[in-house]
This record gives sequence, C-alpha cells and structure tokens, in this order.
Amino acid sequence: MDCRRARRAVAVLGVAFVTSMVGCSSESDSPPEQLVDGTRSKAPPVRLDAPNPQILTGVVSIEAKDALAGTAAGECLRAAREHAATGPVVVRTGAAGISVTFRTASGRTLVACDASRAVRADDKSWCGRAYGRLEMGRLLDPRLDLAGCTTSSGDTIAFAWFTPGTDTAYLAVRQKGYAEVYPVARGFPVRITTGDIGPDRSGATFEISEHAPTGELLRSSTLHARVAG
Amino acid sequence: MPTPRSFVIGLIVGIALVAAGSAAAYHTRFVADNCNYAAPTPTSYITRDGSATVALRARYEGYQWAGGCWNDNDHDDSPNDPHEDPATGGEGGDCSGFTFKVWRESLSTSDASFQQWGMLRHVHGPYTSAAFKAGTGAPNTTVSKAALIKMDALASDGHIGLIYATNPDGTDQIIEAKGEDYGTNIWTRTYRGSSSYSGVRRTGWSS
Repeated sequence: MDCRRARRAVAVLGVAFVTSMVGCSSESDSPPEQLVDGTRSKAPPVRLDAPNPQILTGVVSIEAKDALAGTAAGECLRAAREHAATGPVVVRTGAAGISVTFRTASGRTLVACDASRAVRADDKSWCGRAYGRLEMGRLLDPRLDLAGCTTSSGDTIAFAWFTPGTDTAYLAVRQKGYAEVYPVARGFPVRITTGDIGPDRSGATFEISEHAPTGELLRSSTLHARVAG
Repeated sequence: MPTPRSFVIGLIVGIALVAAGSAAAYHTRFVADNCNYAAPTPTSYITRDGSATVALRARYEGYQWAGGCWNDNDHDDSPNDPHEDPATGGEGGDCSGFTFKVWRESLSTSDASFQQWGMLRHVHGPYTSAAFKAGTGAPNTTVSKAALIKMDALASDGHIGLIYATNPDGTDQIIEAKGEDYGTNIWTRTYRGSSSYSGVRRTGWSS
C-alpha cells in the first residue's frame, strides 16, 4: 500500500515536472511565428552551424531613385531627406525590427532608419535614426541606437551595424530562444537587432556568428556596442 | 657581432614596431583610476543656470567617444585619443554624453525626472545626437530654432551642443564636447543657421 502511494506520488510529481517544462518552453523558447511586418517567419535556405531554431530575416534592395513613397525605403529616404542618397537602399525586416540602410551621395556616410513595427506613410514610423561615418570604406562605429525603440510588449530593442567579412554570406545573431539569420546584401554593413541591453542603458551586446553560403561557421564574435556621439 | 649599420636599422625597426603596437592598443587609465558607478541623486528643483554650472565644470576637460566621466582640473588628462574608439578609457564625455549629464537625465527614456550625476560617474546615457535631434525620450522635445534659449540644444544627426549665450550677430556661444582634438569648451558656432541642425529642449525646468 505504502509502495503504491509512493509510486503515485512519483507519477504526480513527474507529470507536474513535465507540465512545468512545457510551460517554460512555450513561454521563453518558442521562436516568433511572424516577422515584425506580419509575414510568416521561415527557416533559412541552408541550415547554419548556429543555435536552433533559426529564423530568416527579410532583405530587399532597391535603387534609391526607384524607392516609392509608402514603402519602407521610400519613407526612410523621405524622413532622412537632408541626406541625399545614392546607390542601393537595403531594407531588412526581422522578428523585432525593421531597418533601412543607404549610403549618402558623398559616399562617406551611411544612414539608417530603425522601426519596431510595420512602416506606415508618416515620419512616426521610425523610432530611431543612425548616421555612421565611413573611413576608407569602413564604418568607424556600429552606431548603436536604443533610445526610442520598443517591442509590442514594451521591451527595448537595440540596432547596430555589423561589418561582415568579405567571405560571409549569412550572419546569425543570437536572440532569446532562437537565432535570427541575416543574409549579407550589396556589400553593406548589416543592421542587426538585440534585446540584450546593458544595465546602464548606454550599451548593448550582440552575439554574432558569420557563415559561408553552405551554412558553415566561419567565425563568431561578441559585439559590445556603446551609445556614442 | 652585428655591424653598426645593421644595429641602427634594427633599432629603427624596433622603435617603429613598438610605436605601432602602442598606437593600436592606445588606452588610458583615466576611467579605471578615477571614475565610479554611483547612483544619481534625484532632484526636483532644477534651473538652466544650475545646468550651466554643471556644464562649466566640464570646460577645458577632455573628450571621450561614448564617454561621460571627467574631473575639474581644467586639463585634458587623456589627450590625443584615437577618434571614435569607445574603449580608450579617457577623460570626458562625447557630445551626447555631455548633454545627457548636463541636462541631468534619467537612464530610462520614459522617465522625465531630473537626476544629478557626479562628474566622475562613468555614464553616457541612452541618447545619440540623432536621438536628441528627434526629441526622443520623455524629457526631450524638439523646438523651433528661433525659440531656443540658454541651455537648449542644437542637434544634428552627428553632433549636439548646448547654447551658453547668443551673440548680437545671431551666432551662438555653444558649450560642447567637440572632439578628441578639441576637448570640451565654449566656441562661437553657426549651428542655428545650418539646416542640418534642429532645436531641442530638455523639458521641466523650474526656471
């Protein structure tokens, strides 16, 4: 009898443990089902040698002269109209943020518009802006931006540029419970996001790995970006 | 036994290698030796003149990219830092870190309260000059350039300076953390007439 009771207690505890694990798993480890613009998230075309699950961010590139009003590219060019654009405008859509990057006509600076929700046809779409100086074609500073952008649940998100190696096809940035995958595009630094904000809110940390077109890991690094300038 | 010529060549190469190594690893001990992480003191009565006094204590001090810690000895304790390197540990704020401290802001962008930071508190704050320019954060707002008064700011996407006084010719005396080569000081500037610059105000002053 005692033995039967003990077995029952163990079974109840076991069920409770499994239930609590499922609860944890569904709360903190599920990757987002949608990107911030509402499109369904999907896996990258190749499996990267990076943490799983992996979510592919969207990337679109358009010539500045062809950017239409109402699109993210067009709205960023309008909001940042004091900086004449040249060449491609790269629009990235991730699980927590949208960012648009373009080069100015002087060729010496990069401009980014950052948003944490779908872009509408007004200046209020953008929660941040970054302006980065290029020296010999290299970005001097990642231009961390964390002052104005929050997720729909109110958590701060930070944006920064990362300059990948010339052999890099994909970046994977570790997020809570998943990896966000960014295809490299047009030779531009990649504007990436994180929710890993420092306690003094003057910095953020990005855990990054760089991958070949096959998904093979090329190198990994931690970017400790600081708010500056 | 090396010949005198090979010795001299070797010496020159050695000195060049040492110099190159120290340039790549430029780092001062100013922050490590002097700065702290003390909590700020909340303050309710706050004036523009009081913030001007905070700013003047940083005058003649250094400039540090992503920095926000300085003393008051009227001397740049870490001159000639490399540009745009946040890791050099030098004295001074950068333009936005200086503004954050002079405006006595909170680390939380949704908090408009006034916070008194010690000069030697190593803090930059969450705002870049571009964020200030956009009026981001509960304490900050954009304002027309014609309406700017003492301790309001003129901000572009890459720089911000505070109005210390306005000159009769319409230019302004700007107190600003200007750059590694200049430190922090007051200069006459024409930001108000530049289309790159917008007016920004810290709200909530008592006077």
